[in-house]
Amino acid sequence: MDDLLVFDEYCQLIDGIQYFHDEQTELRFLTSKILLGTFTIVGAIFFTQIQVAHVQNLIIAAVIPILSIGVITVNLAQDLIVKERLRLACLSEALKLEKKNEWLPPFHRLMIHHQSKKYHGSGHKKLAYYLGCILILSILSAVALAFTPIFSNWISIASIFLSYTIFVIFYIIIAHKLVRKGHDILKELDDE
Amino acid sequence: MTSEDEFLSSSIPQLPIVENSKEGLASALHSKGRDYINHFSKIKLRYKKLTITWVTAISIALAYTMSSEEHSVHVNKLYLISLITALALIGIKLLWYLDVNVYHKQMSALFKGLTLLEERYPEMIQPYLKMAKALHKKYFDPILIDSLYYGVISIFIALMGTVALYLKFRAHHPLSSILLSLSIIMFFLIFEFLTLGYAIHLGGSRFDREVPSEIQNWPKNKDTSK
Repeated sequence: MDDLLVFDEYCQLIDGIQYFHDEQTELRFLTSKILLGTFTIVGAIFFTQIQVAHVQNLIIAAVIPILSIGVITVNLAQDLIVKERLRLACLSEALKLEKKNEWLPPFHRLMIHHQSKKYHGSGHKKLAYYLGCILILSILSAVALAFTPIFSNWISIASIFLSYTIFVIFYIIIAHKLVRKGHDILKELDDE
Repeated sequence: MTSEDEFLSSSIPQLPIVENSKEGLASALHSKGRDYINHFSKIKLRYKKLTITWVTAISIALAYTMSSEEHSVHVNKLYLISLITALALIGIKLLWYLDVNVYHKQMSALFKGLTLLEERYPEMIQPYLKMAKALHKKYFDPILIDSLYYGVISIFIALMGTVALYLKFRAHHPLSSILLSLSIIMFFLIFEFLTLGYAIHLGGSRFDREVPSEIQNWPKNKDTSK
């Protein structure tokens, strides 16, 4: 193939990778904004005298973080299941070009090497960010629920924290199963 | 030029004009690599800006907790202060992780790639080899500055939380609540100091990470020019 054509294709793939990186960064910023927004709403419920319906304010303060967890889960899926795979598709092609045309600098081969010693890619590292956000919201919700006067004895408070811990552990296990390792996706794309 | 030509020329992405020679392609690849590095650099800067937004939000939250005397729920304010501080520190740790462990690594891989390209074509301008010479020493890597940025901000927030707790201590607070809220912040403060110490310790060893020989020898092992 003509070298100029190869160069053009290589540039297009780099543009594709950059585009998906930007989209993923936007999604993570959105997640951070959702987190800060949840703090604001919960703070307002804690510190103002607003009485919503006949429900205790603290119960509402416990429910809002759970709703945010739902929205963040959608963001997680969009970022690490959809966009990540689209980015890896471009990366796989760029790697193929680099291997075929040795005059191309090994930018992407180095990137994969630098990401992880075990070549697992950055997907699982990005997952840690979302899991951290889920952990923060779970703590917020559990604390709000624990302060509710309905749960006044230590046993009920301990059971609240225990059930939230179980929820977070299950979430981590399921998320790790759903978000596949970058290395596996690249291998699968190569095989095809 | 007809309007159709104008439409076509505007809709087709503008490709760089590249001379079809070994040096021309190398120069174009160098330029593309520089754009690529700048892209990651911008993403890293955006995470740093987001950290400042977090600091502002947490400062407001702490100030509000300190200033309000009455609120709808009867929760011990010491617990609230330590909760806000702890959650803020976890949030900043997540941004630190993304910046340093995901994007910095990709950027440093590109940096390495560009230095290899410059070594391969010594007649080309060599800004990245000069940068490597100016910045990367045995005991220093720019990643250290990133870690210092997040580490100092985290320590600042932890200290802010400690001061807020101190100002809110009242005689009617049970000793257990004082100890519990203080120990939560102290745990994070010690953790931040340890993480920062570890980052400083690692500071000089990241750029020299061993690269597989087939990549390390890319410019040297054979003439890969067309």
